Amino acid sequence: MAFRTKHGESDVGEPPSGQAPSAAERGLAIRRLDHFTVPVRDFHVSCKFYTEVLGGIITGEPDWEPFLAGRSAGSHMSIKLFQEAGRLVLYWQPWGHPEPDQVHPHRAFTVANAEQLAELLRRLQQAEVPWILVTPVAARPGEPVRISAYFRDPDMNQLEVVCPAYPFGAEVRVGTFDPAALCYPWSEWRRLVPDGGAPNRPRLKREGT
Amino acid sequence: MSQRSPGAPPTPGLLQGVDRLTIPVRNLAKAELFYTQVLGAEVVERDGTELGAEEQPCVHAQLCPGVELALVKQAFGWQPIDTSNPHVAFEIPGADVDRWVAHLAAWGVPSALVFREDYVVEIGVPTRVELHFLDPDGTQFELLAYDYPMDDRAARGHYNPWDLYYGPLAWPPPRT
Repeated sequence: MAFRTKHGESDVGEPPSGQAPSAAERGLAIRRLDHFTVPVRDFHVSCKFYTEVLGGIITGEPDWEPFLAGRSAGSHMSIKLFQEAGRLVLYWQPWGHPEPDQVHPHRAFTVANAEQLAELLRRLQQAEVPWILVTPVAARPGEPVRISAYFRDPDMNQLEVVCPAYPFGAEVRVGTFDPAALCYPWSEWRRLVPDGGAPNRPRLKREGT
Repeated sequence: MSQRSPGAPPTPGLLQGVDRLTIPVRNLAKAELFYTQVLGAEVVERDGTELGAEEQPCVHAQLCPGVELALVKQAFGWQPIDTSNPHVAFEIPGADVDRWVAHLAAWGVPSALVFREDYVVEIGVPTRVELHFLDPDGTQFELLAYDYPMDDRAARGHYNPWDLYYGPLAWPPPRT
């Protein structure tokens, strides 16, 4: 097994196989994706985005009792977001969100065809969520290319949707892009939803009050 | 957690599946070593790139059927140790859980075995268990089994995330 890449780095050398067998050598294998989590500030905001814009279905409601009793750091909500195995878990964690110029980690999903990507872009447009279409190499106008739509959820978690064949055109950017251009204010989404999507936390008292 | 749809799982209409999950890493070679040898991924493309503000070098590796990871060199954006989200969770057979714990330990990767409070059942009864650990760059992972016999060794609900830290410079462990 080679551990050098064209990018030049390798301070690891060969795997220390004399020390510990690999997972494959032990007969250990991961069976399937179960879930992945994103940190969110308010369930009502996130629910609106992931169900109304991305078409997800709520499969598990949050339970605040363990958090309010001090036995848990937060609460979570399950969304069936895509047809294949696996689910998205929205976790109430009002910190730890990505920076504007941060692209990774992110989650990339697939759509079956150009019509479905066009529908997604229409929904993003309607919801005033900035997006960008990107492909690595230019093509002739109308030529089908593998393309990625990059955008963020209201908490700035990075998302990508990949279409295997989408007609190349003037709206498609070739190569790099500015990830900070995809940011938008969470507060605008918060105004659209009722209270109750996050626990009421006690306000800090000012000194002398 | 209550289930809104107790019958057949609902099917969303727009998104088909996962193309890949990207993971920020400091050192591609070290990340490849971890994901292939420790987690059992198979390299799909070693000299890949991910687009962003610049072309970022990456290694694509398949971790399980239908799920590809993109290990992307990125110099920032690390998760605090005591912040558990975002994370990714994969299912393993309950019969393999104890062997995964030993396997991770052999590679110098501390882990925490956790039963959730919702799943407190009698000793020996198959139930859900979570195995939490970090990759060398601090990205949080979870392996979970739905058929692991309940025992009295694992934590219930809480674990100390600082017990999982081992640091990117200290890994891999030296050969003996």
